[in-house]
Amino acid sequence: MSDALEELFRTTLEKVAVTPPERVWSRVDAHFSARRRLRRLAYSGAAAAVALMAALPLFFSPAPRDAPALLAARILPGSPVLVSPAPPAPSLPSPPPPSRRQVAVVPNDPIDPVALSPGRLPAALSSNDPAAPALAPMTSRNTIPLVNGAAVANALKYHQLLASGTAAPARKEVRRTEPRYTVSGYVSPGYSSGKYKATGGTTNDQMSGIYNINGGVAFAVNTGKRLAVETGVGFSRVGQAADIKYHTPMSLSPAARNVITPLGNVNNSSKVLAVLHNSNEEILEGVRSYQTGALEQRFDAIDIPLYLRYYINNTKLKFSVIGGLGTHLLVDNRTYLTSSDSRDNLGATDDIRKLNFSARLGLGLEYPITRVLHFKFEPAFKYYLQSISNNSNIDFRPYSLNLSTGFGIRF
Amino acid sequence: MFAVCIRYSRTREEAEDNLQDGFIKVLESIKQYSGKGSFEGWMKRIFVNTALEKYRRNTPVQLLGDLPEQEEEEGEGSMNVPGEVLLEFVSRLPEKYRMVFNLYVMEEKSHKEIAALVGISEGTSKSNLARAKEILRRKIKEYVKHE
Repeated sequence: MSDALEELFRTTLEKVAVTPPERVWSRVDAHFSARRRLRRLAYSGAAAAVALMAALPLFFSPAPRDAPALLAARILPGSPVLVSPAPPAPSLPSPPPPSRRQVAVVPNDPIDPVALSPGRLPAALSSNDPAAPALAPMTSRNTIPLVNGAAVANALKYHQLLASGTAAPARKEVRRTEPRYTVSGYVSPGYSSGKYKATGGTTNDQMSGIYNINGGVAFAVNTGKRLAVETGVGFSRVGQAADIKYHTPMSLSPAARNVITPLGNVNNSSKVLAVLHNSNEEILEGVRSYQTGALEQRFDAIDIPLYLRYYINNTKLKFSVIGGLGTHLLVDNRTYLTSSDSRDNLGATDDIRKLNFSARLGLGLEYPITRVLHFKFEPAFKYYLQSISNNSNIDFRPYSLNLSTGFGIRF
Repeated sequence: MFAVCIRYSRTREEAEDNLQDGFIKVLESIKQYSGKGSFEGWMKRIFVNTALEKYRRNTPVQLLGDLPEQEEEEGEGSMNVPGEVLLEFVSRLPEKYRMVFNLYVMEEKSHKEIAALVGISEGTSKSNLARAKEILRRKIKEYVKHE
């Protein structure tokens, strides 16, 4: 039901036009600008993700792809090839862009009737013209571009080459597998010591351990993804040290030249010295003056290990457990007396084994700096399986704790 | 369209907000315009719906009861009141009256449709319309008296 009042308002208000303030358009424009930025960001992210996904097979595929061959195989000689430059992306009308509620207080201005101006509307809204950009169809394309022209041309040339019978011999498939061999060099600072047991009258006093630096070259064969067999050549040192008191007499009988240590007598032939172990105080009886110093016995050997390494994980940073045996060929046997002003080599300890064996247990950490070069860090414990001395009265099986660091080259 | 927004809004700022929201919706859904009917009419529906959505969001409970429709008075149609004044009268109506008045008079919706759109009963819609018209009549009379 329509009455006069309704008709008055209906007819009058329909003719009323009010011009909105410019800030409204600014806010609409800001809104769409922000949306465009977000969309651009999203597209960039998506493109990067797609590129990354596309690139992943290049890193992980077992064999390099022969792109032209593949392309040629997919395009048959008689098949139509649509070569068309990619159409430009349909451009959306650039509508005024986004953000809202930027102006909080606006005076309640009197309403001025102003004719609605099409010019104030965005172009896409200002008319119903079907040719307006916003209303134009965006998907009318007759061809679908498959690849770019240069790629297709290359593919066709390759195909012609194959058809002519002068094609190059097929490439031997190169399988990209994990490197099987590793050569590494290492330096291994550590500490060696051991518990001494003696029978038959030799001293039972314990000596202290020594710090040492080992090193060498290792060669590993990876028998699988997790297991490797390792060997190599290295240098190792074990030994003992003790504080001592000594006396230098005017003359020394041949019998007194032997220095008694827990690891055996030292043939004191190089120097005319009476070196006494601190427990043999009685020998010093009658000696009015004696000196103090340090006695150090060193046993150097060439190591030839045979270890098994098991990789706990198969990630970039690899952890492994190492276990195995080592063969030690004694190459040097020396005893040093270090006093406040000199360091003298007294000679070799008697009855030291020329050949010994050890067991090793360690943890490995391996980080690839490049695909070929790896950094290695390995704390390990080594225990000699036989006494270092042939003397049946002496049982001294040294152990050592070492931290090996080095670099490995995988190939 | 700004005039439409003013009709449905309490203040000028609210009208500007509605205009902004409405234009954003228009631009975002412009592909949905099928070409049937006038583009201006399509846009106007969007602006009205924008105002209605806001009204529904802000008015969860309808408190006003039904009122009997007022007797019509003659003579308003002959009054020569400027359009901008009438627009201001409408915009200053209480919100629930303004909404029903606009939908009924300007959009020519039925009370049943209005009830569904606004979320009130048909009776409330009728009574709100009567109240709105009563207020407008009074304002027009006052305006004419002062002119």
